[in-house]
Amino acid sequence: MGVIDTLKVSCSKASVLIERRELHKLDLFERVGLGFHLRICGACKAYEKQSALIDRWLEERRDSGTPTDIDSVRESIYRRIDLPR
Amino acid sequence: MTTATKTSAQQTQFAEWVRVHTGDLLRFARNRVKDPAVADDLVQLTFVSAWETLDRFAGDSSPRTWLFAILKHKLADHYRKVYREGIKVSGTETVGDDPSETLFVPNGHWHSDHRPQHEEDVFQEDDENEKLDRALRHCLDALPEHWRTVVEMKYLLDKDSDAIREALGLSETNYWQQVHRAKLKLRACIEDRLIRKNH
Repeated sequence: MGVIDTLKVSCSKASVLIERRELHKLDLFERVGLGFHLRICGACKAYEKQSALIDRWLEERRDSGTPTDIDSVRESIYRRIDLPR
Repeated sequence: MTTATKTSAQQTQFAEWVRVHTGDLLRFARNRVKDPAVADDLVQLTFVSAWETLDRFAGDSSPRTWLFAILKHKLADHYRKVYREGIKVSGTETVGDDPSETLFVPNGHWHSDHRPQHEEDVFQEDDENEKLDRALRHCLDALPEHWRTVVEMKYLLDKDSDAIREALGLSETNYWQQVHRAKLKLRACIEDRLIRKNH
């Protein structure tokens, strides 16, 4: 297998490398291969950006929704601990 | 329960905490587990634990911070249990179906229906974008439970991958495979909701 083949990265492989990169360092071939792929592939470039955004949303997650039945949960807690209302 | 050992001032104080913080704790829990009944129970257990260990609450942090810390522990315990039970049922580490099979064609290119769009406005960042929060929540709920567990644990345990792997009993390869698969699915789902169906 030639050097070019070693460096060839498919989109499927690129998505794996983008995620794995965050967990531990890629080896030299993987880094060069991924870098080259990202330069020529708009879809994977978009994936990289969106993946990072999803991480950020998850990290800085704004909790949405107004919980219903807060009162009944509160009531269960008062009962369970036997607290004065 | 253990009310007898507490003073009435403590009881009144604690009742006030229940009144003030239940709503926010519930919102937090319900955004992180699919079944609202489970979320409710975790919040109740949080207050029970807080009440039982009230003597240890030194007051260096706010009651809110303290209660949230307890809830996060309860959530981590819950995920751990769910995950381990899943393994027991299936007999193996549950990696689950590989979404790569539908998202990519055999030569490794993106399937034309699932290729990430690179127009600027697809995943636009917008602080007011409630649509995005809703999509994220919907798509987390739509993930298979063990993948969601891995994703949630990652943020509960501050992205400490060793701690997560240890808690869930995952090999390193298995861990990042699950992170990768969950991410592929999550991304495809969010994109689908945000643009293709335009919810």
